Amino acid sequence: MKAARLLPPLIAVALLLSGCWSQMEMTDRAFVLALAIDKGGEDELEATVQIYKPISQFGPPSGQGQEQSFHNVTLRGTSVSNIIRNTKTVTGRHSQFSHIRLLLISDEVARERLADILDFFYRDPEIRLGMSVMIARGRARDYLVGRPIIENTLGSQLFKQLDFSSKLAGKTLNTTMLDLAFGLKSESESAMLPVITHERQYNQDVVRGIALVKPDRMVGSIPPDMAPYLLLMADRYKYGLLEIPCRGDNELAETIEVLRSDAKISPRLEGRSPSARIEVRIDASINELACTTIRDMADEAAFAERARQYFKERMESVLGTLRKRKADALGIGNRLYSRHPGLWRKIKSEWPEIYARMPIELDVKVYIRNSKMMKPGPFSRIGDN
Amino acid sequence: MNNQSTPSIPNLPISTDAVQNINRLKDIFRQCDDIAFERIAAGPDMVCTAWIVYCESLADQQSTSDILSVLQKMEMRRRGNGMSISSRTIREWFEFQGVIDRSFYVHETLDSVVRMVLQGHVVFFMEQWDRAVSFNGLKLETRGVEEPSAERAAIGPREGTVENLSMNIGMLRMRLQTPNFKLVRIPHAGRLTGKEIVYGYLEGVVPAPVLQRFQERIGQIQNQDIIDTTMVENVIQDSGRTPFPQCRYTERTDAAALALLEGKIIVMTQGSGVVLICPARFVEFLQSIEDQYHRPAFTFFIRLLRFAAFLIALLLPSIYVALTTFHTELIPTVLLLAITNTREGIPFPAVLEVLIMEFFLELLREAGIRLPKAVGSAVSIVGALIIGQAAIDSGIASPIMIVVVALTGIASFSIPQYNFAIALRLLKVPFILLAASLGGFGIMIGIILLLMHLCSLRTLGDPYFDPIGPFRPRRFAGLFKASEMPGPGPDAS
Repeated sequence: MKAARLLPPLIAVALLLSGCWSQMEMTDRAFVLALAIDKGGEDELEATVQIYKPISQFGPPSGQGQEQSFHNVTLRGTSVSNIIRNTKTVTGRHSQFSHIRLLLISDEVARERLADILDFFYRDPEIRLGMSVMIARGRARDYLVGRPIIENTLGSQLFKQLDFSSKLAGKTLNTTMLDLAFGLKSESESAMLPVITHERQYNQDVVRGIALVKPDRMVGSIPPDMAPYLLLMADRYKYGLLEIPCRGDNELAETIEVLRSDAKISPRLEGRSPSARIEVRIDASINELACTTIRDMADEAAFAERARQYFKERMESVLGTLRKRKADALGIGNRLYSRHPGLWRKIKSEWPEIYARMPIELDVKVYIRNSKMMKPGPFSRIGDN
Repeated sequence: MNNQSTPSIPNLPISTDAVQNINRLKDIFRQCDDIAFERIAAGPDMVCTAWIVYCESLADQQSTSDILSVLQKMEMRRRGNGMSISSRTIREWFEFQGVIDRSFYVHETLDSVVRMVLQGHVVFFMEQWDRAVSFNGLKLETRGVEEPSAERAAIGPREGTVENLSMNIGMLRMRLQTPNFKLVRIPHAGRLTGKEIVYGYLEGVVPAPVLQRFQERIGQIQNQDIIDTTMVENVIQDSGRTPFPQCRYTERTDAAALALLEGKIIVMTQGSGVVLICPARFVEFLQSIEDQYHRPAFTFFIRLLRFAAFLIALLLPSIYVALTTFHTELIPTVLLLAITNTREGIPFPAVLEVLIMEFFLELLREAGIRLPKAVGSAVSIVGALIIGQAAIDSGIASPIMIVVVALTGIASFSIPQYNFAIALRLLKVPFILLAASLGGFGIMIGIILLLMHLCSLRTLGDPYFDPIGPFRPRRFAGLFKASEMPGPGPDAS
């Protein structure tokens, strides 16, 4: 009975005087939105942490317009975790990584080292596996400096650009930490990362193109105009427009809108010589015609055939680049492993070489589902032949 | 039980000497100037004397004149002395001659006379007769039947109970026209208060063990002083320590009738419009009589909404504290950045901010209830608009905090039963403290303790947390349907 009477004050003391280690008021935290990693010097890294700078409602209202709602902290060091620890000395707040959306790695660093930089991000419990990773052409820090176009911070601006570029434009893909780990840890040991470039001509940053990475480093890249074809083969294409150049010398092009695309990669192993077959199926609608007249089904079929041939040509070119770089970004090796694990062990050591010269059959199908017009419109060329 | 109720008055028999009786009564009622003693001389030669004792403020003046006329008639037929008047002749007089339709009682002790006087009876003493006769002359001012202000409904009857017990009983009888509707009177309940209490139930519907337990407990009522029906709960309830009420209250006759149909027992008191409904279970506090009048889809929706309101009223402030101080990673990025903006510059930690604002809200609520209606609305305007805005502007509280606290308050208002909402208001604070010290883990501990408590609670022997606590899937699904809310199942103890 006495013990029972003592219990409530004891519990109260235990709860109120101790506390949980993760307890921290919001005003003690600095939320990191993006992180850029550059080469700092000899064997040194330079990390730029973009933190959100809350604008107090009690501050002078006039200052709100000019003041930027983020701040960049740049520090140098040999290891990522050490640099990040040291950001406290600059910001005076605990850097909270739970809401980081973007990790920018400059291509200069990525060409030299990759896995050891990423290690920290996989170990840290605060960082989400949903964080996107991007390769920056030039200095990664430069992309975090400046004025965001629409969003509050450049971190979220770049993230949005990446998001829409991959979802709606089909020019690149959004690779999260988890996707990256799956790619690099798979038997294929390669992954694709989106690329951000600065267009000096218009002074703007664009997210497009794909970088090919291996666990140790970045091995090459696919230019933006070829990126959709890589995505189509990898079945990562979401939505976008594809151009088909007109025959002849005029620089006209016609456009189709991809409604749906499927890709199926089926590797085969005959003896010890593997081969693969990639089937790509594109359901599209006509978006813009410049030099073709479609009057009936036969015209449409001819147009589809032209598109198919052009796409196949491009895909083969992309495949050639991949094979040259020995980057198995499509995951053929991994599929082979899951089908023939025993044989895979025997050929794994020489896989990059095998991959570079194995026969890969490409089968592309294009279906025109919709021409978006019931009758030839005002600009159609009836009887123009 | 009579001895217990008026311990100070000796249980004296009525003597044949009327003057002695009157003197004794005068002694008992000394300095009770509202008790009237009237000496009446009747008959042609004024030889027959009688006394009437009544409480001026309770009894109708008309009754005394009724007596006089009866007396006149009695005198005419009088034969012999007072001793020859038997109770039978009196009864005849009262029934056939005089005071027409009123029930009357014959008393043999002064003790019962005293009690009847205080209940508004007019007591009649006669010379040389060792008995007294009383009949009910109670005349209470009562207000008209109107819609209860505490339980408004958009549709359904507008009939509410009044302070007059017999009117309330009448309104209930109109709704339940069956002899199975039993109403048991406890004429003189309470140590000093001596209230008339009535409990009712539907025979065959109310489970026998519940009724038996109720009757055992209501027998204890003589040890209590009962001013209002709500005080009966102290006698009936299983546990006085829990913040959760174990009885429901209503002022709507339709709600009381429905409760009876669901196998509940109702208790009503003279002079109070509150109807007590017991045993009440947890889920019933989230239901309103109005649910019965709506279409099933809406009933489903509105009951789901109330469950949400229950959770919000209980947990929202603590969840806010836990999220902002422990689990910021759970807040979506854009919302988080908005919150950090509002939190910037607030001098207090989130827990203190919540407690301050909750304290403000409770103060405002209390002020709004106690004040007269006209001033009350001014308080709510001052509180909600001016203090809220000023608190934000002066940096005491952040706007998001005002949203959290206001939402909590509104959620607690949307719970139909006021006494249940009070329980939530009480429980909110420990949850906030748990959240501030242990975060989401603390909230989880609190919820587990709360569930343990709810599952162990009983109301008149029935499990309080019934379809959830001992989980009964079919009855649980029935919670969201208006028509399928049966009483305790056959396996209820």
